[in-house]
Order: sequence, then structure tokens, then C-alpha cells
Amino acid sequence: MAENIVIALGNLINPISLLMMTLGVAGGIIVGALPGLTATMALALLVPFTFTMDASVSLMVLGGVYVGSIYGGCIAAILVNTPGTPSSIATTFDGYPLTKKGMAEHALVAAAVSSGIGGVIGALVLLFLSPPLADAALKFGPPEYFWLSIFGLTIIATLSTGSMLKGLMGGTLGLLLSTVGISPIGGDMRFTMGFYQLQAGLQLIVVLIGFFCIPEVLVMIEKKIRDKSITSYKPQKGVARGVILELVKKPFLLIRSSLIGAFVGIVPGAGGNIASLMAYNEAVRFSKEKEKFGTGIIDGVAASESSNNAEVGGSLVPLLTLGIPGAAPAAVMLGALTIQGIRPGPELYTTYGDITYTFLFSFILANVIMLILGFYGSRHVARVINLPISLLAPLVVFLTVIGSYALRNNMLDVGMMVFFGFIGYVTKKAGFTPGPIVLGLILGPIAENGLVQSMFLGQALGSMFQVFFTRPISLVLILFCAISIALPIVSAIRNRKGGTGVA
Amino acid sequence: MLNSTTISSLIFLLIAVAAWQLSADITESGQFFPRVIAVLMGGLALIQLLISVIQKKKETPFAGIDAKSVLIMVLGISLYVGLIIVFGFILAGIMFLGFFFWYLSRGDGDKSRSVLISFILAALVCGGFYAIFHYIFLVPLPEGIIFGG
Repeated sequence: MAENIVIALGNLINPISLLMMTLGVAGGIIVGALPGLTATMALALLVPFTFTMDASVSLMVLGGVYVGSIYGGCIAAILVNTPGTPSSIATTFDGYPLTKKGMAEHALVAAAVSSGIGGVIGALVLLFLSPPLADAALKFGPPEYFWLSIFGLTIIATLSTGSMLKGLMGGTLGLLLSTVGISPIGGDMRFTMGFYQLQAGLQLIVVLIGFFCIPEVLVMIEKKIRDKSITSYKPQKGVARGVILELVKKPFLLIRSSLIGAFVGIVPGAGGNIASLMAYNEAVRFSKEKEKFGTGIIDGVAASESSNNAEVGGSLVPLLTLGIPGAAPAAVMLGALTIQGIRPGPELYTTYGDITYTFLFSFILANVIMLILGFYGSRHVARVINLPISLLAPLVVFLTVIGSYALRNNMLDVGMMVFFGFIGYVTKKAGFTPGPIVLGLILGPIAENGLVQSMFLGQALGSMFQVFFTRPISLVLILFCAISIALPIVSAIRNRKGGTGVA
Repeated sequence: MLNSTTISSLIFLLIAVAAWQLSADITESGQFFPRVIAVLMGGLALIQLLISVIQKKKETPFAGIDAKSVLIMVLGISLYVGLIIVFGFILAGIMFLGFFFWYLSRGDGDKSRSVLISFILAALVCGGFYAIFHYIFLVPLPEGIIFGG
């Protein structure tokens, strides 16, 4: 092992490898920042170019792209309320309000620093805890997935601003939208309205762009004065220092969010979007300033970004140890490993030890490079927001159209994006926030698979109770659900007794 | 008088009923989850409907907005999608961006953009993005019925 580590460290200080990885991180940030271009797409595009590279260099580049693209998603989320990648949904909740307050640089620096910290924690989890965690992830069966999705849905309590009832209704709409397409069990065609393109279901990113972006453009247009920007950004001295000092005072927020991200990443099928939403939810729950979330608070950005970058490391745990990708981009990484003749599994750390440790250490380094690029780039990127609305609004629509088309080269996706955009605008006016709807859409397939498969299991065993309520991991998740539901109620009662009222 | 909450509750109720009906012809395993959701949605919509009828809150969600511009943008976006299908990405993009760069800057005094400047800007943006997506990311952008055959 020591020999492999020495070789790995030698590979890391190779200037060409370092340059390639830095280019990979920078390219990943650019791709991630463009709505519709996902981390999976960035990796898939790059894999053919790595055929001829040395195995360790190719994995360093791909790792850099993966890390960079997940971070890059926060840029569009913060500046124009459009998640560049699904992983940055929760970043929009406080990132965009910060931008509206003229604090785009604050948000971008917070995102860069917390992404870097989250990414390093995720990489450390990957380095030290891979084998035991992969075993735990394998113990997740249908009932556990069902309870995991229910736990995820309890986040609606946090995401509902204004009316909890409307939040729940939005959640059910998202769940219903998730059932469009071929049913996972039985193979029935559901709600496709005759469009064969909908057989694979609604594209998450298309719905996301629609719900988050088009309503925001229409809100910009609502104002009669458009020679001004949505806010003004003037570079200020000491912003970065101030943000870092604020984040340093909140180590638990960063560590908790990163660990949530890493552990969610380990569970196959639960991606960075779920990780960031869960971390955001916990950040609200543990905060003493709950009412400030959603209005533009650095904690919200830090929770989401540290979590989704930690998820990257987590998603590679089952990939490297068992050959099971934890998320879609990790599946492309599996392809890249196979192309290089590397078979994931226990022998990865022995037979291919030099390459594996090079990859693991480079993963930590890629996060540091990403932090530096994000940190120094924030000031320049934030200037985008100074564009007047008369330029920004049409440009955002233009980008959303490219983003939704580029996913599958399909005009129906563009039509769907626009359709959901208009629905998002009207529902926003009626008091429905997009968060719960999107959460339902993300968790729907996991909930359905878990529920229906568990019911089949229950029928076979002759006891539903045994399947749903007696398995140890299920019981832990049920406990989490109960705590997640009870805490906002207890908090509301306390606030009422304290006379402060509850929003 | 119906307010936006009452109307949205009725729409949710309708969606729930439609989901129940549309899932009638599929197998039990395929219809189970959508029907559970439909019942939940219908139940929540009914509760919201009752609350809104009892409370009779006055809601004015579209008050004080520049409705004409919003409507023109909604029509513009819809038309843009249609134009892409007919004329392809570049021409449709130039038409959409050029028009709105000019339209939204009207009445802004010295800062209002001329039609020519708006369309030159639009052409630069469309050309630049086309080059990036077509040649770097290798994403084929739509060519349209007229030019793509």
C-alpha cells in the first residue's frame, strides 16, 4: 500500500497531469454553469478523448471535470435562479435572493469555499471509509428506499414558504408528474398522451429549468423600468475574507452538510439533488435564524453546496468497491474505468493500487483547484448580474431553450420546458413554490419502486408489517421521518408560546 | 367571489380526478402509485378549498404588474419555439433576441437600443453559442424544417 501511495503522489506532482486536471476542473465549471449541460454529459463528452491517455491521467481529468461541473451548477443557480445541474436546486433558495440583494459575490464565494470543503470531506470518506460503507449501502432494499423517499418528502415542511398545505399539494403534483412514462413495475404506459418521447418520463432538468427559470424571467418583465439590472453589483474589498470568516464560525454546518452529502451519495440512485435538499433542510432545522432561510442567507448556500460536492465522493464509494455507480455521472466514470481495463472491486486497491490512489488523491486536489478557481473567479462572474433586464431576460430564455434542447436533441423537451415554465409562473402567483413540486418529481420514482416492490414482498411473506416496520435500517429511517415531521410542529408551538408567531 | 387559492384548489381537484380516471385502464401494479397520489392530492385540494371558501381572503396576485409586457413575452417565448422548428436555431434565435433586446429597452431614454444594434447583438450571441455547442460540445442544434429538410 505504501508503495502505491508513493507512486500516486509522484503522479500527482507531474506538471502535465496537474495542468490537464486543472483544465478538466475549469471545463467542468463552464459546462456545469450552462443550464442543461449536466455533469453526466460533460463526462460522457470527454470519455472518448481520454482513450489514448495514460490511465491515471485520464482518471484525474475525469475526476476534475466531475468535481468542476457539480460546482459550476451553482453559478447559474445563484445569478439567474436556474440550477445549472439538478444538484444545485437548493442553492437557488438562498443564492438568488442574495444576488437580488446585490450580494452575488458573497454567494459565489460561499459556494466556492463550501463546495471545496464538502468535496474534500467527500473525498476523505471515499479514501478511508469505502469498504464498510459500500456494505451498508448494499443492505438497502425496497422498504428502505421507500422510507428514504418518505424522509426526503418531509423536507416539504421546510421548502413550503407561506402555506404548508400548498407545499403538500405541490409535492403531490410533483409525485404525479413523476409517474408519467412507462411504469417501473408492470411496464404500463401512463399519462404519455400519445407522445412516444414521454415513454421515458419527464426529463428532470427540463422541468427544473421550466419551473425555476421562466417564472423568474416573467417576474423581471413585470417591472416597468428595465434599463436597470435586477440588482447592481459593485466589487467590494474584503467580501471574500468576510464570507470565509463567517463560514469558519460554522464548522458544524459545513461538516454536517458534507457528511449528509457523502452518505446520500453512497446510496445508489439518490443523487446530489436529494443530498443538497436534505442538507438544506437540516441547516434550517438546526439554525437559530430559521426565518432568514429563503430570504438570502449564506448558510443556505453553504449547506447545499458542501453537500452536493461531498456527494461526488460518496457516489464513487459503491463504484470503486462494488462496481455499482451511486449516481449517473459515476456510471460514466465506470465506463471510463472499464475502457482503461480497470475492473472495480476489492482488487482495485491491490492490483491497480497505484492508479486508484492517484485517482483518490487527485480527487482531493481537484477540489482544492476548484476552490481556488471558484474563489478568484467569483468577482468576475458576479458582474454578469449588472446586465440590464432588457438584455438579461431574453438571454436567459435563450439559454433555457438551448439547455432543454441539448439534453436529448428533442424539441418536445423545449416545449415541455416552456409549458412547465408558464405553469410555474401561474402557480407562483397562486402561492405555490417550485421546491416541493420538484422534490416530488425527484423522489417519486424511488418512492414508487420502494412501495410497490415492498408490497409484493409483503404479499409473498404474508405480512406487510414485517416488511415495512421490522427491518433495522427502516426503523432508523422511520425515526428520522418522525423527528423531521415533529420538529417543525414543536418549533411552531414554541414560537407561538413565545409570541413571535410562525410564518 | 373566487380567489386564486379557490381556483387552484379546484384545478388540483380536477387533476386528481383526471389522474384517477386515466389510470383506470392499466394494470393494478401500474395504477397503484398514481391512484394513491391522486387520493392524497384530491384530499389536500378539498381541505384547501374548504379553508379558502370559509376564509374568503381577497387575493390580487397579478396586481401592479406590466401585464402587456408579460403577455408579449409569453407569446414571444411560445412563438420562439415554433420559429426554431421552422427556421432553425440561428435564425429563430436572432429573431427572438433581436426583437426583445429592442422591445424591452424602448422608452428607456438614451439607453434605448436601435433595431439595428439589437439585431447585431442578437446575431453575435446566436453565432457564438452555435459555435460553442456545435464545434466544442458537439451538440447538434436544430436546423429547422426549411434549412434542415
